[in-house]
Amino acid sequence: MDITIIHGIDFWLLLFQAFKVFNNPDVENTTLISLFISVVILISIIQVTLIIILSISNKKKEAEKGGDEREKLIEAKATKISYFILSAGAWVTAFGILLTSSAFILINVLILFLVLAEIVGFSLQLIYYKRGI
Amino acid sequence: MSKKGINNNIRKLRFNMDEMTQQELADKLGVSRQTINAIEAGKYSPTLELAFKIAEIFKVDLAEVFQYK
Repeated sequence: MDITIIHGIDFWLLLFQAFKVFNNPDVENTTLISLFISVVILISIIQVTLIIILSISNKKKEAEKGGDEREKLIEAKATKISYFILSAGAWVTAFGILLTSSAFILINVLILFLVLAEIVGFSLQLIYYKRGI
Repeated sequence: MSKKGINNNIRKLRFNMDEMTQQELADKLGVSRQTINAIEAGKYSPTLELAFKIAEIFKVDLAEVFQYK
């Protein structure tokens, strides 16, 4: 199972912890942006490392088998819905700029939609596996 | 008007072929056992390529494996 949700939540918590930094008027925008980029890079490294470890620990036979057509179809259908949610998040964030100038709120709205998209995607996959496609 | 669907005889064909298990069939086709189970239960319609492969394994025509009714 993808670990993006866990990282998304981690990321969110980390940003909440950095609330003081974000609300501190003495902190410049460049510091906030560099903090954001650092967190993204750190999480990406952790995610890639975990995926590599999981891939190595899986059975070789499973890896050689490749994707199953039904599993690919289920994943594609779920990803399609996730994409729409993520797109909606991007639009909401884009229009949110008109309502607020707080980078903290905008980033959190975007991450909220990212996590929501992942949760809906995985839930749909479970439904498709159970109910059929 | 009743809705048409794809039926299959995979279970019967497996039984006739020395009681082949779902896992054995899945291994021959290169798919998961869950996919074979879903096809048998009518929860998933395979691609044309997979359907032909199934028919080839059982050495029968495609129409003997799948029926549209």
